[in-house]
Amino acid sequence: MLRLIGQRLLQGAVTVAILSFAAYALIGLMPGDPIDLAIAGDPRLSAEDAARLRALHGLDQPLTSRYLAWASGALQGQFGFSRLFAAPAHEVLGNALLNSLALLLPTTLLSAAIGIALGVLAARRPRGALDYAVNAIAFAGISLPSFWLGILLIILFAVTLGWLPAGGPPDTPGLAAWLRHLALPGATLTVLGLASYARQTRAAMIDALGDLYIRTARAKGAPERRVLLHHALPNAAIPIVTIAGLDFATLVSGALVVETVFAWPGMGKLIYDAILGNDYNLALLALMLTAIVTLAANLLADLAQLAIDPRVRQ
Amino acid sequence: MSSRALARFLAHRAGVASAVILLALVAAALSAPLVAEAIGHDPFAPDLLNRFLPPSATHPLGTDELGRDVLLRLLYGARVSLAVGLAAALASAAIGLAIGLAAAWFGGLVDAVLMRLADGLLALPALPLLIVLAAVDPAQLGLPRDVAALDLLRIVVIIAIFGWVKVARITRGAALAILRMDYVRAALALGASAPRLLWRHVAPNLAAHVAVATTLTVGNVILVESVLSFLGLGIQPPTPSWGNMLANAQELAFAAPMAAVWPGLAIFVTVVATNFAGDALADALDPRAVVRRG
Repeated sequence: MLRLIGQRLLQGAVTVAILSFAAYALIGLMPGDPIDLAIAGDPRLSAEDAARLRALHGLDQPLTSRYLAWASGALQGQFGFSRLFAAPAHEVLGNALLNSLALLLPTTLLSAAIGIALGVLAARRPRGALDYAVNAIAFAGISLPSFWLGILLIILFAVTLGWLPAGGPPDTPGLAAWLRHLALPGATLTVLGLASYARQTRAAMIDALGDLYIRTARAKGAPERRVLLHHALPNAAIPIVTIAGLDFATLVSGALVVETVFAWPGMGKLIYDAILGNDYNLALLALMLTAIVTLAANLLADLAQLAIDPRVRQ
Repeated sequence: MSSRALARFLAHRAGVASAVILLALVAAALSAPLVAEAIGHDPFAPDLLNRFLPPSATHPLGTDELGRDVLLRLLYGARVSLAVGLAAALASAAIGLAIGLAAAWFGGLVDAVLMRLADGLLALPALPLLIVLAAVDPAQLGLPRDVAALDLLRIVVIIAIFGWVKVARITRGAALAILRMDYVRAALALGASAPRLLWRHVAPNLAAHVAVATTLTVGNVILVESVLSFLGLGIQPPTPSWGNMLANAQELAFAAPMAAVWPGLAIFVTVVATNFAGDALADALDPRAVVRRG
C-alpha cells in the first residue's frame, strides 16, 4: 500500500517535471516574446535597447538554462510576476481559484447528486420510459459542445427573456447578485456534468442488480429502497468514485470553456488568457498547479477505491 | 462485418438511424459545390450589403455576419469538420495500435515506459495543454503560415497527440490475451515471424475493439475541434468549420441568434450519431451481447 503510494508519487513527480519543461519550451514557440511586445507597445525602443532588455531578462540565454533558472525559482516558491496583471503570479492565481471554487463547488455537488439519482432510477427498470429519458439526457450531455450550450442559454435567458445577466462577475455585492450571475454558467456545467454520472451509475447499477446477492436480499424481503441503496449502490460505487476524483480536480483547474463563454474570472479563463497573452510565469504556474492537482486527485480516487472495495486490494 | 454481426447492428434501431444520418451528412458535404451552383452563391465571398439576412428562397438559412450564405458555409464546414474528425480518429487509432502492439509484444521495459507515458497523458488536464499546443506558431518551427491544408494537418496532429491513449490501452490488453492463445503459440512453433504473427493472427482479432473505439473517437474529435476553433485556435478562417462558424457566436447571440444555432446543431447531431453508431457497433461486434431491440 505505502509502496504503491510511493511509486505513484514518484511517477507523478517525473510527469510534472517532464510536463513543465515541455510547456516551457512550447510557450517559447508561441509568436512574440515579451520584448517583441514591448517594442510593439513603444516604437521609440531601438534595436540596442531591445538587445539590452533581452540580456537583462535573460532572454538571450539558451532555452535549457532559462528553464533551469525558472524551475529552481519555482521550487523555492518564487513564481515570478504576471505580465498581464502586473502582480505576483501566485496572488493573481489565488483570486481566480476562489472564483472557480464559487462556481464549481455547488455545480459539482449538484451534478453528482442529480446524476447519481437519475442513474439509480433508470437502472430500476432498464428499457422503461424513465430509462430511455435518462439515456437521452446522458447522451445529449456528452455530445453537446459545452460553449454552445452556454450560448443557447444566453440566447434564451439573457437575450430573449432578459431574466438573467449574460455573464461576468457581479458588480454589486450581496448573495442575490452572485446567484444571478452564477445561474447560467452553473446550469451549463450541471447539465454537462450530470451526464457522465448518470451514464456510469446506470451501467454499474444494472450490473450490480443482476448479481445473486440482490436476489438474496429480495428473497429475505428487503424493501426495494433498501435493496437499491444499501445492497446495489455501494457495489456500483467504483466508477462513480473515479468520476468524482476527476471532478474534484476541475475545482482547481476551473472550467476553461464555460468560464470563457460567461467571462467568469476563474482558473480556466486565467489559464486561457495567460497562454494567449504570452504570460509565461502565470501560465506555467497555473498549468503546473492544475497538473499536480489532477494527478493527486487520480491517486486519491484510486485509494478511495481500495478503501471501499476489498476485491481491488488483492 | 459478418452477416450475424450485421444482423445484430440492424437490430439496434438507434444505431441504424445514426448510420443513416452520418451517411446523409457525408453525402451533403460531398455535394456542397453542386448546391453552391444551384443556389448561385459563393460561400467564401463577403457581401457586406446583405449581412444577417433572414431565411429566404435564395438564402434558405439566411446569411452570416459577412453576408455569406449560412447553408453553404454549413455544407463546406461539414467537409472540414468531418474530414478532421475522421483523419484525427484514424491517426489516433494507428498510433494507438502501433504503441499497444509494441507494448504487448516486447513487454518488460518497453511496456512499462509506453504505459506510464499513456497514464501520464491520461492524468493530465487535456484542454489547457491542447491550447498550448494549438497556440504554437508554425513559423517558429520553420513551417509556412496560412496554408489551409497545413492548418488542417496541424489540428489533426495536435488532437492525435492526445487521442492515441485509449486505443493503445485497449490494443495492449486484447493483444496480451490473444498472444497467450494456443493458436498463436502454434503459429510461433511453426516458425511464423513476428510481423506475420502480429499482422495475420493478432491484428484481425483486435479489429472489432479498435473499430468501436475509433467510431467513438470521431465524435469526440469533432467536439475538440469545435472547442479549439471557438477559442480561435482551431481551423483558421476563411476555411469554414462548424467550430469556427461559432467563433463569434457570442456576439451573434445578440445580432442573429439563429446563426449561432445551426453550426452547433450540426455538431450536436453528428456527435450523438457517432456515439449511437459506436454503441451499436460495440453490440454488433461483441459475440456475447444479446440482441436488443431499442
